[in-house]
Amino acid sequence: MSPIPPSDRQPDAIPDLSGAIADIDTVTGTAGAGENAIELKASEGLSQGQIVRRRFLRHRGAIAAMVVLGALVILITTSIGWGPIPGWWKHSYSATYPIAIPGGRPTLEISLSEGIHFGEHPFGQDTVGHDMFAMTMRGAQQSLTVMFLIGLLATAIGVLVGATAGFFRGRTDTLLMRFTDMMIAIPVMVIGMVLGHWVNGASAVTLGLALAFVEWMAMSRLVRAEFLSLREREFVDAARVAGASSARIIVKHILPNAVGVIIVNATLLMSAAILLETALSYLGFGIHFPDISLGNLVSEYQSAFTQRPWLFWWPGFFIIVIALSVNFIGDGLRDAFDPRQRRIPSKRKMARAARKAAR
Amino acid sequence: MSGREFADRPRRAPDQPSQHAAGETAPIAPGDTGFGGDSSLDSPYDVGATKEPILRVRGLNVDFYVEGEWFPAAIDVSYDVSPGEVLAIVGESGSGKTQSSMALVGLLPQNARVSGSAKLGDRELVGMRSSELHNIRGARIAMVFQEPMTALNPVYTIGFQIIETVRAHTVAGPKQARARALELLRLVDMPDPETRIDYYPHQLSGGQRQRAMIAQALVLDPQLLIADEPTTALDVTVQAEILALMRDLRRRIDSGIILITHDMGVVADMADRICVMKDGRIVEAGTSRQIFYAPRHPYTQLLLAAVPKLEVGPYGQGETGDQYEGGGEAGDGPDRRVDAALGRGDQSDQNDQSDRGEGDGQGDQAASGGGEAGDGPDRRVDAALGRGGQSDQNDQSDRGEGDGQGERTASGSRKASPVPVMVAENLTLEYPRRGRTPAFRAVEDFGLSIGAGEVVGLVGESGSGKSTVGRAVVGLLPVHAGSLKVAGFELKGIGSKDLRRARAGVSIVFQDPGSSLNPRLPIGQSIGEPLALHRLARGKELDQRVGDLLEQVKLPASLRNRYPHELSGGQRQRVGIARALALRPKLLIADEPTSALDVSVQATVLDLFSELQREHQFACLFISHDLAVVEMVASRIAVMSKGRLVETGTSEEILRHPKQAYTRELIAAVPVPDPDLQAERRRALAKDLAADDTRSD
Repeated sequence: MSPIPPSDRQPDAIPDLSGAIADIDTVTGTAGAGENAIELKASEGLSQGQIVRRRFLRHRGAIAAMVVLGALVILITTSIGWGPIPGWWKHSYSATYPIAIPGGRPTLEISLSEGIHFGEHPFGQDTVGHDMFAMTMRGAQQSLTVMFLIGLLATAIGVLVGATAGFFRGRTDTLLMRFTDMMIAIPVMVIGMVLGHWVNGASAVTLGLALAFVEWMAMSRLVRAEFLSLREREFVDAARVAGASSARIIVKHILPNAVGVIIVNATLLMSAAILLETALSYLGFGIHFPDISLGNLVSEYQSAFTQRPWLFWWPGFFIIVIALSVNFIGDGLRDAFDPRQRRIPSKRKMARAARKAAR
Repeated sequence: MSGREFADRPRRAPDQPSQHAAGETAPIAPGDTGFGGDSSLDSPYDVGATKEPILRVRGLNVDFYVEGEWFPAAIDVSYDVSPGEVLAIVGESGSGKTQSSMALVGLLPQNARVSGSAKLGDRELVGMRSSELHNIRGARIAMVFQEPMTALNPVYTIGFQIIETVRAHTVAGPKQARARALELLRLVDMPDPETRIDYYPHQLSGGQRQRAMIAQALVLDPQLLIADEPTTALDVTVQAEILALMRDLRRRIDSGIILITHDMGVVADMADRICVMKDGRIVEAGTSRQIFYAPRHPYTQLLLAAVPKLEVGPYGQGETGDQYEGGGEAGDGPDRRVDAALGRGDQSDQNDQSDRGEGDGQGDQAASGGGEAGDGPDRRVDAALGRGGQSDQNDQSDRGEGDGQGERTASGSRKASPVPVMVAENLTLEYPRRGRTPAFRAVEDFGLSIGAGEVVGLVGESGSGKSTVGRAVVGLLPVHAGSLKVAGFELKGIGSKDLRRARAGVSIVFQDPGSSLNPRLPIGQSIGEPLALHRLARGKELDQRVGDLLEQVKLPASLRNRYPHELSGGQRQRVGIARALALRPKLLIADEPTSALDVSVQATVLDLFSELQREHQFACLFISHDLAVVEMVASRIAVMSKGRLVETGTSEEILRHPKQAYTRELIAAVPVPDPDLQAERRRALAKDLAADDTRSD
């Protein structure tokens, strides 16, 4: 080490600025956040939940899907009645009626001049004289029931398994995940058929409960992954140092942060569930005649496709609409929960803002 | 790893001093003292530039579209860059320094708008079609990013990535391209380039990755190199190497370099000219010396004043200002210090001092430190020699460290306070085996004791195990072997109930305030959580306590219902401190609490921290990689390297008379925010290393 004589140069005296420094911090403080201030302008003064809600409400597809699904649910529940809710539709789905138009063609007429005219059997009738509208409504009721049941129950199981495995890791994780792997390895359709057969002649409720047990695996894996990454975050350590128990950390600290993943996957799970239910019913392992689901309507009338296409069409149309709406809502939620996704403004909007600034 | 890299350096060191004597200080035109915020187009931009500038930026504006409005990120930015010149753009986060440079290469997000003019040679970059920009990027303007791990693609070897760049822009065949890649890796002093060329990014150390990225940037001999915080993610010693490399390259390839950084030390080390940015505007521009020695704009002065300055010993001979004078009057300084040093076995002095209050103690120390340093090298050498016996002893205790030291400190502090708050003896910490990854021993044979009310700094590079120690002290990591007593509880093999009680006495402030606060909880709840969990307060009383805590950290109580993302970094860290203080801990672990903050914010947070420490008298283990920050708060410093304790002593001893080579290296690598001083230190270091080299040969 070679010592060097002290430098004789002294910097110009710098005035005491400690007060001024404090000012700077308070200034940046009141201005919101010092860093990425511009990006934060979009979310000033909002809680996490509000931000998500705002982003979701801006997703047009999802909002349209919400409206459609909402209208559908109202139509389905009120038309033929559901449980305690009385229906306004005159026909029942189980009775037969005289054929109104030869061939049982739909009486629904939509024309520009006369508006919408429903008639006696708007969706038509089958050969025996069942009212197709009432049957479709009933089928949609059953399918929706199954869908929500699977969605809720499978989500619950998946979150429970995933959270436990992801948080505790180690042996618990290995056990739970190997079990999950085993469930994944068996084709859903096969288990579904066995279960469907098992609860033979099942109502929508029992079928929904049964199918929930074959649909939770994807959810549990995603939740586990999310927990594995969240548990390493410092706020979890902070909570632990503060004296929080494992249960509290899971419920209060990690779960709310994983809620995006959970909700999004729950919607995707639901749209898959409605297709699974229709597929099983179509194959004859789900809901059996005389009870009705959209799937078994399609299956029942597939042979009549050439002569009476409406028997096939209406249930099919409802399946598509429900599955699409749920998917769109899931998509909107996914976007809303994704913090990295930024909206790219259109040229027109940018120009408008520039004009506004110029004024 | 870093040791080996370091050993490479002296080979080209001898020619460094002359180069810098000539190259460091660009001539300043008389009367030209930069320009203020009111700069207009006819201002003399080309300060001291002798060559035709390669880049002329005039009136550059960058705006971002957010929610139907345009927000300016950079306003009327103008500067020139000449070949072989380093222009540093300095500013705090959010000042627009990155955005204005990204605008040059068209790498801004789609909601950005750029206006003004930026000419590279005679080509206008603003408004250029993206296909043309594509050719310019990489070929004529290259970039070095902050985080080499994320900027390099992890699934390709570095050789592949460099070759890809070569072949994308030239007609070189695979063999030629590989040869060129090797040549570049040699240019950036990659050790053993023939092997490393086939390494994946994760197989390289941080410094090597950054070298690889610089090599990639240099593929086509760009005229302009934009380095966006190139060393921020690196350790100080590695940073010093990368800076040396960049200085060297500037001479060899003669391109202009735009250095974007917030670190005044780096700026002092590298820059010829400096632009200081604030809120999107350049508030001051000038040569490096103008900015450092005669800052005109209040913001620049503020920025410089906020930088924690390391009062260094070995290479930082020139202590400044009053301290230098202090040296003059305290002629007998060194002797006294030798006495003090020898008599350190009984640490009572020091502990008394800390009892009196941290601020005072620190002031005293700084004063005596100044006296010492000013007193000339010879006597300091004597002082160091006078303590030779002790340093031997220390070497010995390196082996059986824990015991000796633990006991010594324990016995020492017994006089001042009956029980030290934390005692670690032979502490060994491991990250447990996971799957096939074997257990990783992060800390071995660590011994340290912290008395009540004492602030101990724990310093080391990343991977040295310093944070691991911190985590173990708050019970986040089990003690593998040895003993760790915290607040009266032995943490080795502690049960969960006892751990809970032990944790009532310790708390921790984390490095990244953004990640240590639950984004889904309002901050009031985060702060109140420890109180609620230990059933110390509830309902109204809890609210009251939370309000008090917020007030203590100088935040308005109205912030309690805000969410973390709504706060600035500094505010978030204050919240973190408030939460840590909620249980009135006896021991606080501060794990790099300011390293994620801007300098001026860091200064206020450190002030606040010292104030709270004085007020509450909690003991603190202050973990940091930044020696200057540690010096400000700690009365004792422990240096760690590769999981082992290298050296402990008072701040004074460690910073001015480091006994271990590693500590010296660490101190030498810290850039000082003063261009002349830094140049001198660099020369001294080069000489020192050269001397070491010949000795070892």
